Amino acid sequence: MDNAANRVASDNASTLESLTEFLYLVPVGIVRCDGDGRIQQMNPMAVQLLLPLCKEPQLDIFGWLDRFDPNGRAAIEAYDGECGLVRPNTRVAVRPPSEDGLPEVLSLTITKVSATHFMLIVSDDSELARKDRLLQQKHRDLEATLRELGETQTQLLHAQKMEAVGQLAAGVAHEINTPLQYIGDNLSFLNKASTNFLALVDALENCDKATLADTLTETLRKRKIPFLRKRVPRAAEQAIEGIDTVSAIVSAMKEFAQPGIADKQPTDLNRLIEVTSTVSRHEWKDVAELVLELDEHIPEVLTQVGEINQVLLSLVVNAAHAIGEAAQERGTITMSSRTHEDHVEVAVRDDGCGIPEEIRARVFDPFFTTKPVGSGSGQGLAIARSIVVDKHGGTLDFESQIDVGTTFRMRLPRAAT
Amino acid sequence: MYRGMTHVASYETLGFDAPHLFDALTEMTSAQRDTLPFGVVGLDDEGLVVSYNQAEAALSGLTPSRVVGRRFFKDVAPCADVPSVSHRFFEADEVDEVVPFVFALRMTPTPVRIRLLKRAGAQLGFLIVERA
Repeated sequence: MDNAANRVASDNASTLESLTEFLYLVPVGIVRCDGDGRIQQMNPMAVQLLLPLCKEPQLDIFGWLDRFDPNGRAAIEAYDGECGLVRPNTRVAVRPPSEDGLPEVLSLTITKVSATHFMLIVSDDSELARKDRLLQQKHRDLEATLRELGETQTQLLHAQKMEAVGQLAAGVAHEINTPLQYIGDNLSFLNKASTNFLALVDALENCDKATLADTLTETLRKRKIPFLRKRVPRAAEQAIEGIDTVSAIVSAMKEFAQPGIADKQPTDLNRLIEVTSTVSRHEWKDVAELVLELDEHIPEVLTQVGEINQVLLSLVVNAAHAIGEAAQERGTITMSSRTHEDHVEVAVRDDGCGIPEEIRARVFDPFFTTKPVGSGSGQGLAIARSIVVDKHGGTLDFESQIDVGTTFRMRLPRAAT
Repeated sequence: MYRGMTHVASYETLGFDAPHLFDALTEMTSAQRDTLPFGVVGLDDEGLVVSYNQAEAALSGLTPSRVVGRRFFKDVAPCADVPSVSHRFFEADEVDEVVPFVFALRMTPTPVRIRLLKRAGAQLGFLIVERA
């Protein structure tokens, strides 16, 4: 052999050697087999990964394949494409983790490389599987955290409701006190009147028949009977009206808080508006008139009544504050209800100061408040939005114009009929 | 090539399955092991290749000089680092058993039988390799 031929032979040999070395070192198993599954070539890694699958070493790829991917054989046999991926990246768990430090998950890719040959790439995906498990654990942790967060939110919701009810209680006490005052006044007037009437009856019973006319005239005058006759019916009426007012406030307060009713129930939103306007009277009566524009034909919708009341209260209280801040004489809050094709709408409109452009985006953010520290938790509208959107599948938004006023609109989907 | 052949005449009948193969191999020189018709890999107790005979070199295509001193199951034949071979070889003090195996020699799957031979206290353990 001359030198040139020697050199070519030596170059070929070293190319072959480096190729072989590459195939030996590459960290995946490579197997080439013919259409009948007979293994023609495989690298040591393929042996190392596949061997533990079978008791006896196999020279037929199906002998191995059937052990961990029964569908692999079917895929190869059914494949009628020229060349290309037959079965991309099938991951198969081959054994329980931690046994002998062997791969726990193998991933297998089958490719048709020529008309008669298939190639299999086998790789150890244990690390991936481990990371996958880790990820799933993290996912479960996150879900648990989310659940906790949900529970916290429910508690927060309840706390905010208690805060609102507490705030209302003071106002309601005041609202009840006024009628109680005149109920008391009227009752003591009626008490005095009854004494006088009874005195008249006594005088008439005990007097001499001869002096009856004189006694009657004198007692009527002395006991102011004509005056009492005129005033007594009105006093009784007023006392009864007062009782009605008080019991309306008390029952509205009871309806508003809805203790213990957690499920959604068919709800007449107009009633909710009336209840909220009643219990919140103390919040708005000094700054505004409250006008109701109710759609009498509004259909019932499914709501958690206590929560929707809380939303309406937040809106009314905010409206009253907006009017208070506008420092005008007296404003008007309008609560209205309307029926639309697929939803019902409750709007609370005020003619107050309006919401400045720069804070409109943050109005529904939790803890956002324009009130001085200590006078508002900043949770009202955030929670209102959460109640309407998350719990009732509705929407809550607003439009506002500086010095003209703000309208908040709550839309709730109509119950499926 | 190996002119000392006459000295090992008594080993010519030594077969893969011979019952006293361990003793025979321990007594043999490396030149004598080169005359055997099956592969012999001598490993120390850490798995380093101490001897690698001609038949094994012919089977694997690796020259003894490239192999001796390296970790057999890590650097030379990592494919045999599986429970049926390496684990079994190391997990007991005494081993004498035959396991079927496939070597991917020059990328060609070659079915072989490997006889694992190890004795407590001996300097070397052996892997005996024969084409199946």
